[in-house]
Amino acid sequence: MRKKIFITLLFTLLLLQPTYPQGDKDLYYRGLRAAQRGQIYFSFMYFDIILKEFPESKFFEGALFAVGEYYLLASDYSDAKKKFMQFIERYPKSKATIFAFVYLLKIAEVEGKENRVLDYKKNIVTFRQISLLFRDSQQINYESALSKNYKAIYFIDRVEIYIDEKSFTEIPF
Amino acid sequence: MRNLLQKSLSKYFLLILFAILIIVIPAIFINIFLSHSKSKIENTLSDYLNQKVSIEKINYLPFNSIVLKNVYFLPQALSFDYSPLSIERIKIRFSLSKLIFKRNLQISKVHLNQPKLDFSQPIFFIQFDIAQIIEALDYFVKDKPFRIVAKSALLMVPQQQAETLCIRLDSIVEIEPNKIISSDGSIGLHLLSGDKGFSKKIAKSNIEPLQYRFGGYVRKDGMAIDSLEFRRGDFYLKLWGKLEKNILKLNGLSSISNFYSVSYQKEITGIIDRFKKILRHPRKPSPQILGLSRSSLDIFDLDCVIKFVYQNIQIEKVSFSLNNIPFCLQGCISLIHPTKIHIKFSSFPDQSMPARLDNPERFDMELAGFLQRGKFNGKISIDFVRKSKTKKSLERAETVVENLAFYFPRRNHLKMLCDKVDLYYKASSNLYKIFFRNFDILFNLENERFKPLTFSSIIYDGFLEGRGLLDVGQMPLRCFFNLKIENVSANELDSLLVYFSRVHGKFNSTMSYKNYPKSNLRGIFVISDGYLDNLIFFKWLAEFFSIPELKKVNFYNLSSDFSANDEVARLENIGLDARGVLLDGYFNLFENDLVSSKLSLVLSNELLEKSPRFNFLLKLLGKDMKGVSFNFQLSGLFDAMNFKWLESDFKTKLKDVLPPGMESAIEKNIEKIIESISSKNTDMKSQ
Repeated sequence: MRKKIFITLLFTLLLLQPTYPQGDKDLYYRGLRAAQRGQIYFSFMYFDIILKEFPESKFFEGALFAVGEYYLLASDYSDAKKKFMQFIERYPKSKATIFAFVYLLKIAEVEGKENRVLDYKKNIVTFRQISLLFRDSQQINYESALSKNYKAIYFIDRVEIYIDEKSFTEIPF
Repeated sequence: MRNLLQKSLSKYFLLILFAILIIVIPAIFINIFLSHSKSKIENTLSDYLNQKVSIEKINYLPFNSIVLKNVYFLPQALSFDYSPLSIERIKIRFSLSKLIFKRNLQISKVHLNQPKLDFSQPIFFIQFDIAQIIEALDYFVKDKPFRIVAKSALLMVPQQQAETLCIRLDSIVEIEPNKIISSDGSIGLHLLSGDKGFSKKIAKSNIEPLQYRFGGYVRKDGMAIDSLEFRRGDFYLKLWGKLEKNILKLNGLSSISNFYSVSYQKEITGIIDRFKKILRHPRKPSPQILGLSRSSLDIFDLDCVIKFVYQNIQIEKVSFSLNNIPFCLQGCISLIHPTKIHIKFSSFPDQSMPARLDNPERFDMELAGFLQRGKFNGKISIDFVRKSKTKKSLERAETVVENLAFYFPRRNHLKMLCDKVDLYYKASSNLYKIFFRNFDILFNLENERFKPLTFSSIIYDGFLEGRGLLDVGQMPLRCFFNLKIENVSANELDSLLVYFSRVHGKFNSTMSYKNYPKSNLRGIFVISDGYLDNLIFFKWLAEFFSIPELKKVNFYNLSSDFSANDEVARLENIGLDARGVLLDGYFNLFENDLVSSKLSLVLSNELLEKSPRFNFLLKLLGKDMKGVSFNFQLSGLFDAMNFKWLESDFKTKLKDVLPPGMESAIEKNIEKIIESISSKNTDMKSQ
């Protein structure tokens, strides 16, 4: 009888226990799902835990960019800037790096820092070396963990940036 | 009546005769004595001054003057042929009563006429010791004032040229018995004309001299300088301080309201000029802009400490604030032959190092070298921060000169000659070099604001000549130059631009430069009868199309217009006329290292037939094609350029005949090749 009561209690406790995420992967996918549902605050919470608890995680890259995106959406330029700079430093060859530069460019424009604007424009323009023999452009695509679709189209004399298929900026050179 | 007149005449005659006997006879005797004692006086003076002294003639002038004519001073080692210091005439006035009654030679006045000092010689006589001077003053100045008059004292650098510039000093120094010193006079620039050396005659100068006034007093261990003022036109300098145990400490201030404007005194030569002077009415002063103007220079907080050590002048510190920018000068001038100079001049000297490295108004200038026979050998360098819209960079310009000399070939003309001028310019990690030989510049100083100049030089195996104009009426100075370069081997210019190392042929160019309103260089160059040796672009084409002839492209002419300013360097109307290869287009390199270019390359059929790849393509496209035209557009970073093959007949035909999927395969292949070239380029640069 006691054994039965113990098993029942244990089972009840297990059922009542809140379902905490178990690891970086779990956190990341929970964050993705929250973003897909439009609950970006919850996404931010999951991704932020990854940044704090799992610095060596393979999901760190996506989480870092997403946290930067979240800060930017919340108009917290200072923290957004820190995250994007950290991203560029840590993942200089990532597909998302060019879009981190694009966001830093926009922040610098808002802050009126002309020198930085010019620097970031140069970073974007020179991010990829292109050769166009028979085609007119080359593309870089990236989908962020906050479910945003980024696209950079490199022409010989300009770069066009799209976010969710909407034109975000164009940099002639 | 007649007898009375005769008597009185005889009386006067006797009196005159007596006076002559009293004055002239002793004077004759004294003069004979002095001429006999001349060598003894010379030896005594030589021993006292520790150098050879030669006096041509010593005369006694009744009642109380002695005149020394042509006095020469020179070190023991030199002969008397040429003396670095000479005085044409020294007149010494003394107190006769004290000499007769007290047997004491008390000098009351010394008049120096035309003392001449050769600055190019070792200045052996500068053994500056204030204690000796005070001792001498104690001896000469007792109960009566002592006066020294220097007329036409010249500090000069004798040269082989017809006219020599010298500094002329006219001065009166008065020393009271209580050791209060006052002095005033003028310092001017003059030209000497005539034969070599000191036999030259002073020509009149039409530049207004600098007036000075001094007030101070002698102390036990030195001299207090109450006030030392210099004035000329709009220039004013006031100094005060002390000279203590051979250390000169001065403070002061200065102002030049129109620093470029040199006041000229118009020479009154003819009757008309004199007439004009008489008739000239005083004019109303013209309205002036009050307040700070760009052309005014104001120096405040002048603080200098200069130490006179035996044959050395040590500039411990000369600090001042010029138009609110702090400057500091330090260095040493060694007067032992040859005269050595080492001077450092900086702005913002007290700023912390990180702030200094970021300050575009900061510079550090250094001059080191030696002067020998009026010619300077050494180097001048300047480190500064260049600020542009996008970046700040630490840059350094250095000039090494050999036998740099200044001459005055004719009135109002300054000539600068230099056997060797090596210019080095370091920007970021790039070092640019250019070497000139027999550099020659002639400045025309006639106009007070605009100074035209002409110059010429040997540059490598070619020649450079040009003319220019300096506008000294503005700060910073405005300049404009036109020049042409002839017959220089193009690859010699690789020290200026590394890409020239692969270009051979004779380089000819005309160009102009002006620094106002913005720095701008523009011109045209033509390289004739040369070849391109493994130029990276043609090397790539050669490898890609298997046409080894493209590795060495012999050309008749390679030409381009060029321009460069702070934002962009442009090559426009590029034209390459070579056997089987034609190239034209433009290439722009912006200050942020971004490139913008369109080039059109035409390869002849003859050349293409040598390529197995093209042979196949030509067969495919049909034999009626006369040459193939490639049009490229380049962009992006200079070291990793983007590349686009623009539309052309050849490209259209090629697209038509290529099998499906082939285009993207070629594209990927090209991408790989371009990436490999870019990395090679970067490696080459880093090497």
